[in-house]
Amino acid sequence: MKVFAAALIVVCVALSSGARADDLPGGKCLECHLMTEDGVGELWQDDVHARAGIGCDACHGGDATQDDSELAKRSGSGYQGELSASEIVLSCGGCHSDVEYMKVRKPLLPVDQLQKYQTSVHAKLLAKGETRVAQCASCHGAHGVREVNDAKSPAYASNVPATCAHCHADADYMADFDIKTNQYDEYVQSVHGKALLEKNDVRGAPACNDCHGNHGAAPPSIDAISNICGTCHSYNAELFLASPLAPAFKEKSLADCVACHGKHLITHTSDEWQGDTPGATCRKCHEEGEDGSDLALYFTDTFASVRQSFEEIEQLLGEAEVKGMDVTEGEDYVEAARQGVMQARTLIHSFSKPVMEEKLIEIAGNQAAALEVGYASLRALESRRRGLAISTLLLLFLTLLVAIKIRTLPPLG
Amino acid sequence: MSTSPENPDRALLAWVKDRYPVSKFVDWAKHKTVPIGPSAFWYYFGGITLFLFFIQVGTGILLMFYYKGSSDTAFESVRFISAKVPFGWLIRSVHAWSANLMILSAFIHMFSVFFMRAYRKPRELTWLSGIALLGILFGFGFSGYLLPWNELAFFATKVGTNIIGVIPYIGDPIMYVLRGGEEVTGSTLPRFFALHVALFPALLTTFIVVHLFFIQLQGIHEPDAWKTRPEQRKTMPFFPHFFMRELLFWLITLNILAVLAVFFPAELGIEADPFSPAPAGIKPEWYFLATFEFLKYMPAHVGPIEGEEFGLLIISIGFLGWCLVPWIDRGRSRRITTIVMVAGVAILAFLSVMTYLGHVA
Amino acid sequence: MKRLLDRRRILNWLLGGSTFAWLGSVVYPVLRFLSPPPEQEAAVSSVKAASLTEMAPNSGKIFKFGRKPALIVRGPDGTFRAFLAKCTHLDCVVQYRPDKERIWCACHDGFYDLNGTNVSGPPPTPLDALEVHMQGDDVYVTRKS
Repeated sequence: MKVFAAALIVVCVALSSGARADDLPGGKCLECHLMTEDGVGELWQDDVHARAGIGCDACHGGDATQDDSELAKRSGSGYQGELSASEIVLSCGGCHSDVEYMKVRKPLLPVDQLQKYQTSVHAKLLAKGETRVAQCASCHGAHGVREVNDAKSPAYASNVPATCAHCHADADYMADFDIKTNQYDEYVQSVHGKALLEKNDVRGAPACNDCHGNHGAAPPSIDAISNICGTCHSYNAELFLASPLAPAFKEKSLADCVACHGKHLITHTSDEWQGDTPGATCRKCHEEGEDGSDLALYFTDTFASVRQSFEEIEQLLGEAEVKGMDVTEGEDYVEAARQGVMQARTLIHSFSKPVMEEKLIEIAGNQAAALEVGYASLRALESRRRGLAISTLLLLFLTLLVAIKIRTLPPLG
Repeated sequence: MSTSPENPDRALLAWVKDRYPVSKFVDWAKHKTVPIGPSAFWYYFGGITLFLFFIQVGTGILLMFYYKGSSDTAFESVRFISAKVPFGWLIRSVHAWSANLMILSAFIHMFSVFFMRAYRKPRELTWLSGIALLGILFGFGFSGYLLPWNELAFFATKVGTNIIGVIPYIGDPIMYVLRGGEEVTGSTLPRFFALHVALFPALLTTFIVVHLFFIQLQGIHEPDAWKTRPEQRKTMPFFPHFFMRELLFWLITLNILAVLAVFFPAELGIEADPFSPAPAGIKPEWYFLATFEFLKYMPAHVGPIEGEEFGLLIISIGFLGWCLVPWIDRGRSRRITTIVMVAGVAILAFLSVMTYLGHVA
Repeated sequence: MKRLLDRRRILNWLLGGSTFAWLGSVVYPVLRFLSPPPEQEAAVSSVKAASLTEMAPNSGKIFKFGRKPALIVRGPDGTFRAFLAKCTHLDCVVQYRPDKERIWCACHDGFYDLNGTNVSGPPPTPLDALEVHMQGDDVYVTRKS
């Protein structure tokens, strides 16, 4: 062992010519640990704590002034070595929940992480001795901790789903726990997943923590789901809570929003959700002919007729355009109507016929105007041809007369 | 056109005759003749080109009542003319079609003059002024095409001015001045507008006057055959015989323009956006297609010269030959005449094939 | 009597008449063209968005700027500001919320302040601003120069 250690020291010293061991705190620890296989030393170079002047000994103990490993790790130096899961929580939490400590070092960083964590399922299982749970290092890393708004951090918005999925999508890993493992798969297919992971909308699209929270990760309470979804979809939530469905859902302990839209596999809505036929969303509660199904039918019928009008308009304007007429005004009305339809789809959440009727009158007005532009164009085309025919006839008549006149001229030659 | 003695115009005519040498003019007009024969049909095309010019000036002035020549308003103003102004669609489409027909008619006129060998002495300068007129027409077409400030026109102008930049030494400065900068931008539009409505009309009018003046002085060219067989000589008085027929052709041309305007209205497309990439298949107007297509066939380099430069060189040599044809074929050598005529057919065929290829590309 | 039946005379009168008629069919469109149409061109560079009397302080109004929807806001201090009404997140049309004194996008709860700066929610960039000019009681909006 001693020979091995000596050899290691020699090798480290030999290789340390390019090392930056002395540039970063860690003290003499990095003289050896910079070049270890686990890459810990490399990671440490990008760590926020390193830049803040915190050394290896802050978490691992030991004597950082010694470059001899035996001396550095001697008993009495407080050396802990690799930390266990619970030790990690206490180590990180030790500083990060210390208000006095944090407020003079990084005052804007919250200090409630530990407190929240203690309430989570992760912490509760850990307290019972289950180490296969998430703790600070699972999501933030241990040695290469970056700020959360650093795109390389596992806790960065667009990295969060993969970080959670590391465990929660692993069916084998989660076999002993009573929780499904399809959430990540569903999320990735959802509009939120696509927005965050494909379109990179980090400001707008939610990751796991936006609905479940960060440290006290928990599924939303069933009576507060509108709150969660309503953080971004505030108008829909407002309409729903004022609608007749809200008290009914509360009474039956149904999940607002989720009952129709799902929780992880949230897809684009479709007009086919409306109605009371099998397969329609409304049908989940409202059988045909029951209370509420007439509203469902009303929605189906009106949206269908709006769609049909759009098709009619497209055909009409297309025909006029192909024939050379300018239909930009018609297109402007179509755009206004489409905006109206988008608003109407939101207004569905009021589950009120009068509210919808008002919006539909506006949409119908725009569609009618677009149709009128199309018809007017076709009428104008007709009148152009009529005018041309008249003018051509006049010309033909004139040509004939001139030809006759030419014949009356004195002969040539 | 009444010729009865009670014609009230007589008094007016008498008033004018009292003050201006009208009778001299009337005498000249009475004696002006036009040759009749199998090639008489071709004689109308000069007049048709002139008529189309009048149409262009008329419709152009009308369009200027509504056109707004700045890059953020041009497109919308043209759309307004086409969609909202009564008969705006007609004026605009007639203007666009008449431009094309005018250039076509000028080509027909030029080639018919060539094949009738009317460029020979004493009409060399008439020939040269005619070529100058065709060149100015190309300038009209190129400058006018940009004015609606739509996507196709913007990129066609970009490509077209690029080709001008290929000319050695002077090409780049000319391109810079034409574009009003390094690129085609909002600063290009006012220049093209000034060229289109001021400079080119002035130049064209001058050269038309010169061209017509020469023709009036020297009379219309008569077929070569008449020199050896004077008994075949048949002419028609310009007034009223030829004039009435020409008037008829003019009226028919106007109706053709109206038919084209109603059934094939001018397109507008979408507004130019200098920041968007060029759409596929940009090509210039048909009268530039032959050159455009020909340059595509040039290899990257021909000896020390760049391919495009070489192509332009060939075209320039051809063009120079075309201008100098009155001095190449003076009618003294049958062989030279034959070669020149064959070359003319070859050039016509070349231009037609290149234009067709450019169109279907 | 005979002279009235003179064929040449008839021909000439017909010729003159039909020429006149034909000329009419040419001149009529030209005259109609010259008379300005009642509907003015969609102002692209300068639009009258509102009048002082029409808009109370702390209110907003959607209007058309060329072909695009635009928003004019009269702040609580009475001054006017105008923007293109397209939300920079996913292109919904924004509106003014007097209760929040902010510009709001109903689609995903994005907020902009009275300067058009995105202050909350998904929008990544501020609204496109337009210039406001007063002319007497009228409020004119032009492109930013």
